[in-house]
Amino acid sequence: MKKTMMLFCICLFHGAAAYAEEATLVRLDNPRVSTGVEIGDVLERTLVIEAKSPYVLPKSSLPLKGEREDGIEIVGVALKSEKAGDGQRYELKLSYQVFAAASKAQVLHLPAMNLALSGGDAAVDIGIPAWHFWYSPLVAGDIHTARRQAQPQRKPALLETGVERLGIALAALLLGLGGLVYINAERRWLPWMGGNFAQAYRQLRKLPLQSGNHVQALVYLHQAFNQVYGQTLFRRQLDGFFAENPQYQSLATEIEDFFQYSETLLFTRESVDSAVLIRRVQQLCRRLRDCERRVT
Amino acid sequence: MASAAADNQLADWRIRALKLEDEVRGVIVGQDAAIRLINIAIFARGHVMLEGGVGVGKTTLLQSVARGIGGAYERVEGTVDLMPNDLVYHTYLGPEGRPQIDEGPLLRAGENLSVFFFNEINRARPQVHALMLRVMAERHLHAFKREYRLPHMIVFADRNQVEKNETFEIPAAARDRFMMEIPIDVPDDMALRKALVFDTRFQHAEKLTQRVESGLLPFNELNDFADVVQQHVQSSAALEDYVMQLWNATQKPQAFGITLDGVDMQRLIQAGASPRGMGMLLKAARVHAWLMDRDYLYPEDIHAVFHEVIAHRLVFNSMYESRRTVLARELTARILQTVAVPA
Repeated sequence: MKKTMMLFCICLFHGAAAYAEEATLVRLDNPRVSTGVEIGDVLERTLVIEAKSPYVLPKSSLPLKGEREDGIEIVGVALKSEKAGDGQRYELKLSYQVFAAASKAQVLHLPAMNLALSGGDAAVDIGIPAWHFWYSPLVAGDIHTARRQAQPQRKPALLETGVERLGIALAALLLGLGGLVYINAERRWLPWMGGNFAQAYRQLRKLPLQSGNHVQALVYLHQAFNQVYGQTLFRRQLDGFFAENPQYQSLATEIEDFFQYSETLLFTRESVDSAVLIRRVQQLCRRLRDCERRVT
Repeated sequence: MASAAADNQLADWRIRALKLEDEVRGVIVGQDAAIRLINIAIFARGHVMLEGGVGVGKTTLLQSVARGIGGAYERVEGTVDLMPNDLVYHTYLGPEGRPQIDEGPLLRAGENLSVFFFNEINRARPQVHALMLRVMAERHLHAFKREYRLPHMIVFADRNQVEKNETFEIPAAARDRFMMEIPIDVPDDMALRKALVFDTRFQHAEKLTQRVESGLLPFNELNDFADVVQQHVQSSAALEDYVMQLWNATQKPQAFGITLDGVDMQRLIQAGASPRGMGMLLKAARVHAWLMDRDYLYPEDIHAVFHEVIAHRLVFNSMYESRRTVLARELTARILQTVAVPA
């Protein structure tokens, strides 16, 4: 009996060694996680087989797409082959989708299979073992349990945002009002700032106290008067200017004087100390700026 | 010493000029501005077009001025059948029954002609305009085989603006020969209007003009004195720049941001003021400065005569010609409001 068993083992080993040489399962990659698999999940197995010539792996020996066994369906079969030494190297990618329905966790498996290679004198098979995994149902219990546990839908409790919203609205309102005031004030930072006389005063302060610059100083101030009046302002129109802009009435005498000496200097050849005149125009312009801002 | 003499001469003539104004103001009420402008034209030696309705006192005004200036005053009525020769001579049958020829209104007074009034000039034909405009420019005329000089003549012409039938519009080139076009309007003041209607002294124009002192100005010295005024009154660089800006504004008002209601500014102006027009503007402005007792031109001197010297020289697109009077007034006013003394 012992002898008989030994002979059977030797024969078995010899057979395995024979086909192992002709075709070899080089690699078998199963899904990385074998727990927590749910209905609809797709599991992939990748096999790499090397077959010596003249053995080949025919497509007819591959499992068919759509085959289903115990709720596991083959949804993808992809075979790639390439030359490897004196034979072929095959990479077979099998995709299984789980359609099993169970109300509690159970062990399922990707099925075992035999891949038959052909082309040689003897038939050669490569056996692929099954791969077991734990199937996890989506819900515990059945629909009756679920119905018992069902609750009416409720909105989640909102955070208290009333104060923040009011603050944002007020800030937007203030910004909008500020923008309107800015635009209404002809893009000055404040309505009483950046007026015509304020601009003229800035220009006058930058004007060097050099000989000949007094004409420019006079023109700066005249330009400010023209802009305030809305048209070119001449001495004979000063009454109209004061009627339209009473805030400057307090400087009526000084303004009259300015127009008088301005006419003399611009339109005659009378000479003047430019530095003194520029300072004088600066002082008047500053006072006019104050009137413009209504701070006097 | 010479300067003092010139100053005295200027002051003396100023007194006379202002006296003439006062005298005419005493006779013609409500026309102070027109009287000042006519006075300026006399001393600037420029011809004047009077613009105004019928019966507003234009003839009386001119007769009064002519009496103050002295010299001869002639008048001709513009009619559709008036011919150029009617200004130069007229024919008639003499006492012996033989045809005779005498000098016409232009030549009758010879060099003593100081004021020639052409009433309703636009009723006359263009050939009459041509003769008048030539005489206005050259101040002499060849007739009767000799040269007639009219060195002291100033032409005042009146345009009938009410009627359009049988009238011949004066072309722009001809208008440019007139230094000024002065509006003569009925005064707005109700008291003055009442006086014009109810005061019997205004019913007799001839008697009225007799109240003006005659020969206030020696008419035959006006040309020489006008040169003195022009040489005396100076202008600064700033003012000259300002005048150049005004000139530009008459040519391209849109470039200065000038707009008029309902007017396409790009199409309004066909031609702005001419160089002759600007020269006349300065001549008139210098006289104004002298009347204001100044040695230098100020912008207000330009303003005082700007509309009257410039408005009639502007050539508008034909679509705006029918509104010329209103548009020209608005445009010159807007130019003066907008253009500033350049820096």
